[in-house]
Amino acid sequence: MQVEAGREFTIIPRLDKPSTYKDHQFKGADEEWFALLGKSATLYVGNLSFYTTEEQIYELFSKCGEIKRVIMGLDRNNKTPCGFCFVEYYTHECALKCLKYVNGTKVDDRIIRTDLDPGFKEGRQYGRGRSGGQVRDEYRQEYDEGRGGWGHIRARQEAERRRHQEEHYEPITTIPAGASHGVHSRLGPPVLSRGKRGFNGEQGIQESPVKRNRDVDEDMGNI
Amino acid sequence: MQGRFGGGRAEIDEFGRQRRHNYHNHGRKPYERSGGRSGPYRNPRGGGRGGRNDAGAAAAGDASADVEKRLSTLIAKVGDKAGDELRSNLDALSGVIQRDYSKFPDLILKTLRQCVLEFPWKVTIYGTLLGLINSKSYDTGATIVNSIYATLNQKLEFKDWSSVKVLLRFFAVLVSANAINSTTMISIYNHILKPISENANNGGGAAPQQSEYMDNLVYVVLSTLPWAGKQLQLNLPEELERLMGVISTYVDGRRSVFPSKITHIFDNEPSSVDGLTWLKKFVSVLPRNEWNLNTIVTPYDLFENELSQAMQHSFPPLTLPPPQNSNGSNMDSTGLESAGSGGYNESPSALAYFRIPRPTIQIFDYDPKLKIQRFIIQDLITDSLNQLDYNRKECARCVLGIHLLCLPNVAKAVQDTQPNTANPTGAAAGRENADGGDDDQAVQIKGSSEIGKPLVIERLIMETVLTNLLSTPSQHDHDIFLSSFAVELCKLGSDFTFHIAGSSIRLLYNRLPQMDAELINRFSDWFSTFISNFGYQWTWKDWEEDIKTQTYNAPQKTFITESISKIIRLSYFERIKQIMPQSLHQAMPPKAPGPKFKFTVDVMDDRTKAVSVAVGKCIKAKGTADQVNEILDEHYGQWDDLDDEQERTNLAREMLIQHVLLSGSKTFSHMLNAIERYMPVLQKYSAGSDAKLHIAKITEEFWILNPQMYVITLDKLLNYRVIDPITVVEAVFDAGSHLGQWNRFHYWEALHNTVQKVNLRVDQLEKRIAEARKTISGSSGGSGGDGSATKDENDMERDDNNNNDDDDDLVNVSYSQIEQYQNTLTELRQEQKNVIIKTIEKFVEQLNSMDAIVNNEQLGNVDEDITNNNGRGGGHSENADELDHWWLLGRYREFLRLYRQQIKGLAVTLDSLVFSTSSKPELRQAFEDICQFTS
Repeated sequence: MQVEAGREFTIIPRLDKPSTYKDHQFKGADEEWFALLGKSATLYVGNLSFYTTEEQIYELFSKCGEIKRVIMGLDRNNKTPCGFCFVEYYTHECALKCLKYVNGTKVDDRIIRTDLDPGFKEGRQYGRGRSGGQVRDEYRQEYDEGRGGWGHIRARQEAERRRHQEEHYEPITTIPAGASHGVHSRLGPPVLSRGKRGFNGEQGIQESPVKRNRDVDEDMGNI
Repeated sequence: MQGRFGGGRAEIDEFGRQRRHNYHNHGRKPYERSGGRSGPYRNPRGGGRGGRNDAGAAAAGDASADVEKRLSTLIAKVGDKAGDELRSNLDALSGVIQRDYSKFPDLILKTLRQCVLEFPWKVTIYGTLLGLINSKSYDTGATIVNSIYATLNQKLEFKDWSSVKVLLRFFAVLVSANAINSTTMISIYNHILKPISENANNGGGAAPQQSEYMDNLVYVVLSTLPWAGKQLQLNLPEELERLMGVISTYVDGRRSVFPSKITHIFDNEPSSVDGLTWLKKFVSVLPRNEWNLNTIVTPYDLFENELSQAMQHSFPPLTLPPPQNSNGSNMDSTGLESAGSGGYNESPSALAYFRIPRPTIQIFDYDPKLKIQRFIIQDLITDSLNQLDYNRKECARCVLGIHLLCLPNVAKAVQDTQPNTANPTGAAAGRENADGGDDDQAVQIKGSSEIGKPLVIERLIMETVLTNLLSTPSQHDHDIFLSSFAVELCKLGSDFTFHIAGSSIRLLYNRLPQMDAELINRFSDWFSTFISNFGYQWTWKDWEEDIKTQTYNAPQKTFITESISKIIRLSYFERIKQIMPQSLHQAMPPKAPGPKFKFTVDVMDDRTKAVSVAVGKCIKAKGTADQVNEILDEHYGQWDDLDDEQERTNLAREMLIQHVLLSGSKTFSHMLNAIERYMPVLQKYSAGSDAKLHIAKITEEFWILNPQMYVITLDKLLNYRVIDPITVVEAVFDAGSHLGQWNRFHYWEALHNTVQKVNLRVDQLEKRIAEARKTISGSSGGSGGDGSATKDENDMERDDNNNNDDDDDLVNVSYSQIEQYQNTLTELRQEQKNVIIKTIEKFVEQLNSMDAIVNNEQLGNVDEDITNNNGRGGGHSENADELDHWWLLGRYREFLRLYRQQIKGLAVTLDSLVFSTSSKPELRQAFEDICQFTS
């Protein structure tokens, strides 16, 4: 029933529905936002560890289908990963599969959250918190505490990883377009024009709706 | 876990999202069980969500909406648990529905329909409820029953076999609830079996036909018959016998045993591993027990008086779907099973992965007296997994409660039993011949410690999950669901649940030496994803002996090393090393996965160093493809001593690829960037198939220490068309360079990624053509509105200037577009064929040459026995060469199974091209078997 998925009434809610979140920077009506989500092959992935690599994400997410590209969310100032990313598949179905089977499972011992996203736009890879990272940065501490905190060994490892990352991490300056499928490449350029009427092209990382207000406030301050 | 995002638990879910439905009962979902079951089944971290009382919790708000919610909640929750109050609850609810039906007809209809579809294990509850409604109001009963019958018709049309099965079971129960009579049920069954009985009648000595479509028809009847058997036996014994006769003729005449054992999970399985054969055998002994299932409560027995006064409904004949698109695999979004040549399937075929379940692998002991009960419960679990795969969390919660509806002493949850008594895990003692449990004798011996004990629901669930996982042919689409589901199961259940999951993994591990090669890989993937959700906690030490003593490519040792390799990919090297006991370090790679750059300073002559430095500097400074090209030309142009232009090009190519890969070695995105930036020069150096193969080999050398990046890089080079699909096939089988390593998983990962990509391309283009056709017919019909609904991405691009387009223009564009699509499609299909043929060719070539090695070393009768023991003697060969051969043979079988639709389509070509007299008989046998199987 893939085709009708989502439209059919079910008693047990489907996990492959987009959340109620809407990017407040999206310049369009609600219906437009959800129409875009209805065919999007892109996912926002949240609650990542700062040290989670693209390859770890690739490993798990590719279980739901081929990945076109992964765009790491970066701290606006340091240009280091700040705990979220976008994963772009080739088909909408893969993204839905991911919502059903990967959303809410663990990567690097953290329960990750995935949500449909209308598609990556330049600028959205940066954190929009005051410090340059994600606004909910402080909550990460709370979460770790809620899990009993890291053990000593783990803490040392994390420090070592941090050191390693600081020495070796090099952010990419140009986001790759990702290969189009053979079909596309033979029939013209990849279709990247989604959301033409969408965003202003600036910022716009998703946050949990609970925190959205705070997000808005802070970002308004920044703009 | 909760509270991590701040805020109250009731308002946000565990991901910090606002709850979308705020039910009157304070966030409790309508299908959630009521307070009686607090405790381990509720998320233990779930705080005070359980056990709240509904009464008085009704929130203020729209009164009618509230009543609706309340009503649907009542319907969804009734009979979650067997107990004294069940009778009065059902009685009261049927009264409410009968009374309120006129007010909320749609709500009641759709709620009841979904309850039947989504809660398969509550079939007797909803059957009874409907019987009661029917006895109170014939009209209301008629409307509801007819509506559910219409749903059955619709699901049949979509070939949603799982839903069809669940609905048929419901109708079977309706006979006992006296809402329909036995004649009606028999006629439903007869309708479904029509193609089978017609086939049998027409046959007249001709070879009986069989197909996946017919198998499914027989399966949905046979698997639901036990639920109606008692009534049918009582009322229409002859009809029942005739029905069983039709089924028996079909099943017995059907070929289900294949000499190559191409569908076996274990190579020492008894021959009757075919799901349908086994099921027929099972059902045909039920009459001895007067069709008593004695598993789930049958509340209709409590209402004998009321129900006996009801009148019954009958239905118009069912419409059977045409058999043509019966594989349904075109809908597979991963393109895994795509037939490619199968045209476009317009009807939404649900569950592309639906397969007739095999007899469950018996992992745990059980009291053989509960054989029927074990089957029934696992059958219900299987259906629940299929029906609720869209919400793995609730699915886990639901199946963990199935035992609550069982009769006393049939099944329990693990914490209700005493885990400290002997054999707490219930491990099946003798596992050599345990499949299917159809050997009563064996079960009796094995089950000795479980005699008199109820079944343990968690064990039944784990057995079902693992049987699902290890089914052949594959259900790839389902693998990730089955890992995530098992994770939810362990999160929801008690510590004992995790313990049972662990036991089932360990017990299955013991049987790895007999397991099919593909399934070892799948089990390893499942296992690594599963434990990655539990901090990689595992009793790793248990395996140190195997690591120490086994040949490097023995099945168990391969499972361990490849699983460790997988969890390193999911996590990172240092963390896994920390977790592993010292004794397992030798099963890990010596150091963290990374690149292996060839042109390090100390191993080069001066002029090589000069090029390398120049290219390296240029790329580091983000030089253009042209600049890199110039450097290569300039330097290698001066190497006059090399007369051969080809040799210089090869050297330049290696220099280029090594440097491009190095510049992209930081992350996956860097790799994409590097390839994108140097595309023109990569293209120049990738002209011709030799050049492409060379690139693939350089890539493998570069990523020799990082299997994941090896696979990804090949995949992306393929996307950018630097290499071709055939290149990957050739690289995997390259002149036997992987000889001795056929047990490694990543070569096959690369191969299957490639085939699937090729298939996906064909699929997507077919879909596009179908859409374009629809657009044309829509716009030429004059209704512009239709056209916009089917716009593809290309149309989106034109949106801006599309406003002035008149219909004619649009049609013209689309026609030429379709022609262009069609040409491309022809090319892609040719490529698709080539890949399949080439791969089979390579497999056969390689296996033939390896047979020589194995035969030379083994002075034995390998040839004769090879189909029986897969060349591994008793399954415990420690000879590395033999094992290597076994792995490759297993991968060959995997390939045949995975792409069987395509292979069958190419059978004639393959037969003449590949399976000439020179190929080994076992290889040919497997090929013939898979073609036979794919009827």
